[in-house]
Amino acid sequence: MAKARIENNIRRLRFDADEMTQKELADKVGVTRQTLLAIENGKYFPTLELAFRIARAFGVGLDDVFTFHED
Amino acid sequence: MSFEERNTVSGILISVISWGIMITVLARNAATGLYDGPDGPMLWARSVLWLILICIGIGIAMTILFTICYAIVTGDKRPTMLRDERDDLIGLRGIQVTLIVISIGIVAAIAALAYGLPILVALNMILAACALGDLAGMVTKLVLYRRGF
Repeated sequence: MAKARIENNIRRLRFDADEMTQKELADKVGVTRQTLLAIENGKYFPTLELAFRIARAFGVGLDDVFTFHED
Repeated sequence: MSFEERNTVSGILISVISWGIMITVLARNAATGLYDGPDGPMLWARSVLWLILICIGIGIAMTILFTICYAIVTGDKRPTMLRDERDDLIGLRGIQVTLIVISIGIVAAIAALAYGLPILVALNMILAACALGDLAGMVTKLVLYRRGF
């Protein structure tokens, strides 16, 4: 199986959403700020449910938040 | 530091203190010859049961104390107690490491019995494996929290 990598645009989306803080987004989606930081830095990949919650918090689709690359 | 990460740090401290007390008391009793003779394993088991109860009490008291101290030091009047999916995954990884260490200890204890070592040696090996497993699991959790998961 080819190696895959998942990237996210959370930082940009936060910036676009009136510079929403990590804490504000974390509270919105029901996780700790540390978890959100880990997701943003690509150190932790969220479950599908949390991924949808994050996308919904920004009012965008899942593809706008996470992008899948197959190397 | 999240609620669960803080719990892990306090858990390590509590674990070191609790197991330290248990090992010290058991070693002192063993040195006096309390566990020698045919009733040795029974007396050892009674000592361990009492020590487990005492250590649970110490653990509860220290957890409360640690939470209060953390709130005072950080000035956080309403500390969050949120536990999310990443905490669950890290917790599972910690349990996995704990179980591996305990399993190794049990197999080593069985091997010790198979080679004719006294039953008290095997019992102490199992207890040591529990102590090491507990610590290894919590250290693993802390490393995962720090390194990112």
